[in-house]
Amino acid sequence: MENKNTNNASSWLKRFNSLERTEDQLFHTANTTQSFCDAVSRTATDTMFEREPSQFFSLLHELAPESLKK
Amino acid sequence: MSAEITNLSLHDVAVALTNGDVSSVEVTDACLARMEKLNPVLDCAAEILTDQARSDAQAADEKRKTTGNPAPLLGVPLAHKDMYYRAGRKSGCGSKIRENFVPDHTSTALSRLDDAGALDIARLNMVEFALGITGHNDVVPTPKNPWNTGHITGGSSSGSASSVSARIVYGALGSDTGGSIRVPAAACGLVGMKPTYGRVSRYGAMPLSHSLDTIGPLTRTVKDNALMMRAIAGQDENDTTSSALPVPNYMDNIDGGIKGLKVGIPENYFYDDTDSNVERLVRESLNILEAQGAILVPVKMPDTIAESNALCGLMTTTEGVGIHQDWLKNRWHEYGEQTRNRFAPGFLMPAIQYLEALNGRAKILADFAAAVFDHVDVLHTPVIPIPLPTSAEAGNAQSENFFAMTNLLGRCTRPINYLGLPGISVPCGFTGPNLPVSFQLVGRPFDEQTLYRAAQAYEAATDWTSKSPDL
Repeated sequence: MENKNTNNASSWLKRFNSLERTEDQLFHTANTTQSFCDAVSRTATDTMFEREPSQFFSLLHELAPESLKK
Repeated sequence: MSAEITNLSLHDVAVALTNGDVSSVEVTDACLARMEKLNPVLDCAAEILTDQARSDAQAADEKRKTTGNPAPLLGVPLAHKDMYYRAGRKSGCGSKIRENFVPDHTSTALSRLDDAGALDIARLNMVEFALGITGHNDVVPTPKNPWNTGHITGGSSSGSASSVSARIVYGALGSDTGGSIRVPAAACGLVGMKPTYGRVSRYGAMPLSHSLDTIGPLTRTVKDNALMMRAIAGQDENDTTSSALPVPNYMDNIDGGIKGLKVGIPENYFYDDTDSNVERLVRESLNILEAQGAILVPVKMPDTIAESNALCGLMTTTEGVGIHQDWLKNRWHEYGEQTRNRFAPGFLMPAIQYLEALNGRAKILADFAAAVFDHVDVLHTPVIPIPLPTSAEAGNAQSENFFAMTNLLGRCTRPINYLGLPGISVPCGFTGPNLPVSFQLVGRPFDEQTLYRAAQAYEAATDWTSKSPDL
């Protein structure tokens, strides 16, 4: 089973995570990772320069019902 | 008499206990008897805590005699997904790796249910480490769906859904990282609430993805669910991600109706791959809501909704591998095949993509809120867009359609986890041979109260939640 996504995945896993997996075994794994990365690239259309995770939690609270904020 | 007791809702059994119509010992014995009878068929419990349950029931009855204002769930038998730690008691997390794990602390969710007087009568089976949406488990027994034992329960809160649906216990905690409360609730004909991220403390609950994990109840009725949620919600000093916003009494105005409530109908994404029979039932529920006074409003979903689905998967596998990396490296073969293959993509995920998924969350939530909550109060969608797969289909990861099937099962729930929003699953009919179907209502952050009110208006106008499986 040949797939460009698995070309370096098995050596990467062995080198950095001590996991022995063949390229065949990594076929679906690599494709799944690729699909996740593709989703990120489709959403990251403008600068991420001043963003951080805490802004998400702040926004959740900003959007909460006003009756809970009194 | 025993069947009459177990057929009561949580709300009604609590009332019966308060009125002295029945004792906690009688209720608990009825639940334990049903558990002993049905667990060999349904495989919903990892451990039945018979002696402890009877002792706690006697104590609850004694306490009721001496307390003027008893706790709201005093003497009501519940049981929970086997990932809520109780100090000194095993918590296997649906795994072989942790089958003998004994935590030294008790989860806040269990402590709060203890404070509310509820009994904890069993540890319930679940998907291995809560990573899987079908309910299938390769390493411990897979719970069966009481409505049709040949079909999946959904997961990962599979034992919670099976035992509550089978009228064994009155309610159960689940956890939801990508649909693990709402999907099994929908598959087993129950009400399931995934609260806003931060509404319920995760302290002492097995982690999967710290950015996405939420805790909530699976129950037979909306009011049952509101009662359990009221008990567990609120800030906790042991979980710094828990919100300081006050917790309303969800029972207040729950019967207030929905006249004028704006209900959004998604024009794109949520129905794109929905089976025609499922779609018909879900859309029929809109007619009921409209008849109760709701105003139906078509809403265009932002383009990022589809990516939110994938980003939820990205964060789950990446953060999950962060937690499991040592075991995955050293005990790979002790995991079930499906579980380790679901974790594996996390090992290959570049850090920069993970951080982009995390940092982009506020912008994607803002876009969603502008598209939806600038126009409506709640969004109405399917939960599971396809008829329930068979257990055999869920157990065969080598089949050609397996990945497509598992992707579809969580298609309508995973985006809501990425967005951090509350979502409730509400039964609305059956397809084929006793296969339940539900709709989902999604609300503004921390507005679980509106979801309960809308769900209650629907439930009161229909009889789906009064139906029980023939066991």
